[in-house]
Amino acid sequence: MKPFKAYTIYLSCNMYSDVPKEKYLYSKDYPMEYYYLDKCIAEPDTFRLLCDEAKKAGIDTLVVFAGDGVRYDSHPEIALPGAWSKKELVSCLEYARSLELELVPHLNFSAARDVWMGEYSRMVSTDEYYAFCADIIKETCEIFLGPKYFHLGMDDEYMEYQLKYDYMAARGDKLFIHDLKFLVEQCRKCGATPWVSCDFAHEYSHLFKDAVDEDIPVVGGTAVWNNMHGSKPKPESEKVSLKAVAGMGYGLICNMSCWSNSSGPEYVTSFAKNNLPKDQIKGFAITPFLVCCDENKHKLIYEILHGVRAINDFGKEA
Amino acid sequence: MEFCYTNKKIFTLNLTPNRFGDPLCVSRYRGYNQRTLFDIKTVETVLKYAAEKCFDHVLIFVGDAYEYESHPEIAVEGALSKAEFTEFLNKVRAMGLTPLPMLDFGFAFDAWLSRADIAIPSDEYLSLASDLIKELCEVFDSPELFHLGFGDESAKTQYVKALRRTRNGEEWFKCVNALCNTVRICGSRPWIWADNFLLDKEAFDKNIAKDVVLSTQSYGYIKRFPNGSYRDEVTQSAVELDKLGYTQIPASSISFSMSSNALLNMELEKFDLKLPCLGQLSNCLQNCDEDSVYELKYAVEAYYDGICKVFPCEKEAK
Amino acid sequence: MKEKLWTYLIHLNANMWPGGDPESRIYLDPNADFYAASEKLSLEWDKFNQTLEYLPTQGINTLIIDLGNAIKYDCHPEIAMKEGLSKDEAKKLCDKVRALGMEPVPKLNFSCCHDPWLRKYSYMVGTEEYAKVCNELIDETCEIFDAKYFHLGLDEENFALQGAYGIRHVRGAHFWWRDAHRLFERCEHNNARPWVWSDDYWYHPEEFKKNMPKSVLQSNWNYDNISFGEKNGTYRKKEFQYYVDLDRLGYDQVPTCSTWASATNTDATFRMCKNDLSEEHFLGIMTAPWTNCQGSTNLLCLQEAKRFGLAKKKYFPDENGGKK
Repeated sequence: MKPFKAYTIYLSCNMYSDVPKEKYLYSKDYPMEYYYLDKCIAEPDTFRLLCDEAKKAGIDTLVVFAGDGVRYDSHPEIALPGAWSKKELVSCLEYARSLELELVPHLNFSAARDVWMGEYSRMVSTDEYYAFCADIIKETCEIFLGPKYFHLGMDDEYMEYQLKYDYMAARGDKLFIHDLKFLVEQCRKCGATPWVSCDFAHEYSHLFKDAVDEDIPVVGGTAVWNNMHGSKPKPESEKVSLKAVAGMGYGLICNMSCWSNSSGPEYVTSFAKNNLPKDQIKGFAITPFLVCCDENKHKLIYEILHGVRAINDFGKEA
Repeated sequence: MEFCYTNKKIFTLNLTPNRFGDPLCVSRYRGYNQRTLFDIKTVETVLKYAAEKCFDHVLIFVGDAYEYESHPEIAVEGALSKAEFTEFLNKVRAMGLTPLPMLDFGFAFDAWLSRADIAIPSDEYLSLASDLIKELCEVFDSPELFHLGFGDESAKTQYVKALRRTRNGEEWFKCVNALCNTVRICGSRPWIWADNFLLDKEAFDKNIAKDVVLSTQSYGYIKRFPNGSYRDEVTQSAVELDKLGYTQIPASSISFSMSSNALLNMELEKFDLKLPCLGQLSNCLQNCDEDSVYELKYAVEAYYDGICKVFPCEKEAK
Repeated sequence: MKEKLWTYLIHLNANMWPGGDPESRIYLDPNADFYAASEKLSLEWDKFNQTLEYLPTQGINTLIIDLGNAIKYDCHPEIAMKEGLSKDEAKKLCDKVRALGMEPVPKLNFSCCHDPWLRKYSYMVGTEEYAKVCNELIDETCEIFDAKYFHLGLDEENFALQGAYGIRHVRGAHFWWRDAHRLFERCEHNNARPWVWSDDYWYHPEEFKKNMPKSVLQSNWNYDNISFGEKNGTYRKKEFQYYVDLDRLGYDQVPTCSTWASATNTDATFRMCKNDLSEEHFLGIMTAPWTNCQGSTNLLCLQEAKRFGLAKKKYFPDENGGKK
């Protein structure tokens, strides 16, 4: 079966910092996209435009990160000013469905990527947090009309990725796996198969297998397309983790982006071709890490085109 | 509480502070001392306490606290004459403790040799060392064991020294074996630290005879991996030395207030070493002076606590 | 001349360290020695009393009591250990300490690295509920102690030292200073002078200078051998230079020594204080055994006090600690 081609649309990118730009203390040259945005700037028109462009390019799956960009009934307190109503989101999803795009909801539950949760991100692993996660997953599945898959994130939970945050948290191995199991269970209750990040598969392999069933596809590739160097924890470890999960027999989803350099997608497909068993690669996911608004539309379309080109080349060689 | 451990229970007594330090260093906190710092009342109090609790041997670091007849230049102020030392050893025996001698010839711990104005290493050095060993064997009345030190000579252990020296593998083995032979000629069994095993395991196995007693220095909190092997290489080396056929006396210490270290080393002996150990050593690094009396008693207590828990008598266990 | 604070730090429990993470869903190694979660006070009363009675004989006049969740507070009974002290018992302990000639000072460590005693609230750092709880605890503790000083901890808030915890939390600059200021204000509202560990200065000296009020009493610490520099007041090792820096910046200090790691540290710290700190800002010295008054570890508590007494006699023989 050919790998699927997925594209990720973000209604909010409040996963990379909890500090608004004007309050930023340490560095003035931090990328704009990575500051905390205290209002929702996602636009339904851009969403529809991206759906059209994605379909035209050959994308068949749409991953949608709603987060604090939508006003949930169960937890309206996390919604940003200007957040979409559920009705607006449902309408956009219907449009995507009409283009025969498979829809995958995405919420990132990594303690390093959960700023969108508002106060709940400061209560990781408490009873209130678990109740919140259960509610949000359930309501998201209802909005997406019982999706087949649910992308849980759970990546980048390292100190090094949070150094510019106002509040940093990282679960230890056992608590991380415990919480991962909990989230997987919540997805299963709603009939969805979760996607999880491969980040800790190598470090905690004996625990990872216990928490992540064989049918759960594992997502990875940030370090590959980012082509990162230096002392950050991910580069080699993520590549090792991807190979490790391949070795454990999991289905693989390679994510890619032009966020840091335009050759990012090619790095990923090249890595996949040389290191990962082709029959285990379920798909590729293009992740632009930009909110879908008019200001960003050109970059967002650019990502689609570059990503699809790289995936098509991989398909040809395969 | 009663315990059933019949191997040697050895307490360390430092008669000189010049096991550590650097004669070239002007600071009184890390430097050399021109006099012994032991207080005879404290020595007697602590040894009596040790004997009452559980100890049956005392390893006495003599260093420059003895007036050697063959090399009088080594002794510092406060050193004991032959007559005084013999009387002291008799008192120790009367307490129920068998005294064992120690001289540390490792470069990190030989500040006590500094007054011997000879090149190190050299044949003259080996000759001097042999003379000292012979003299101590005589005054200790042919002790069963003679500890020669020879611990880690890396920069890390010599951090207090202005001038650091390291012997390369061959030179180190030559020195060790020469002095071990001297010990054997005197009718005793040589005993050294096992630190250098980690530098070159094969060479160590080839060059150090199996009758040499080894002590690993696993201080701090000893942890294991999920598969049971030890996380730190020093403790794991004890298991490897055991497989190679060496007789061991694991050493513990209360440094950093780690009261459970003795217990953990005893568990190492009980559960992981197949060959019988000759005993367990409490390596107290303190001078035996008035202001350390509580710490020394604590070292006794921690060891006793460990031995009662790890080797309780059958009736206690039931 | 104001009497110096010759201080000893004593612990009622160890629920400020890894293992003391009672809310963690994953329970940690029970063999972790001093650092173990407990529903009981980690002391034996006869040994604790023995140490208490010994301290004044070594010249100690101030006792910092690290409480953790040892007291059954009215405002938050849910955080107390099952076999903790009632408020009355805590007040009686303070009276006893005063009767021995020492001033009791409460300590509650609000650092993310040392707050497992806060139970579930340690998992809610940064929320308004957390802030409310901290305020209420400070209010009630000040009432029990009639406190003139309040040690807030606030040390070692980094990921590296939280490796054994279920979850590691660190506040970034904004949050940390916001929360620190809230705690300082709460102490001052209760007429107690806030007192903190000074290690934040090591990592963020500029932020520290900008944000740390002079009204907050500092306890810098370093437990290694101290190597003295060429000139008085200059140290090769920056960790010791910080004592001098803080003094020159105008912060009142009670430097902390311990022979937990190096037997010579107490003597060296006293010597450093005598030679290099200004009379105006040198308010005393604290010693900490970093262990419990129980079993054989009580010997270490006595040892710590003994070394403190010897050093005090040697460097500050005047009863009030005046320099000669």
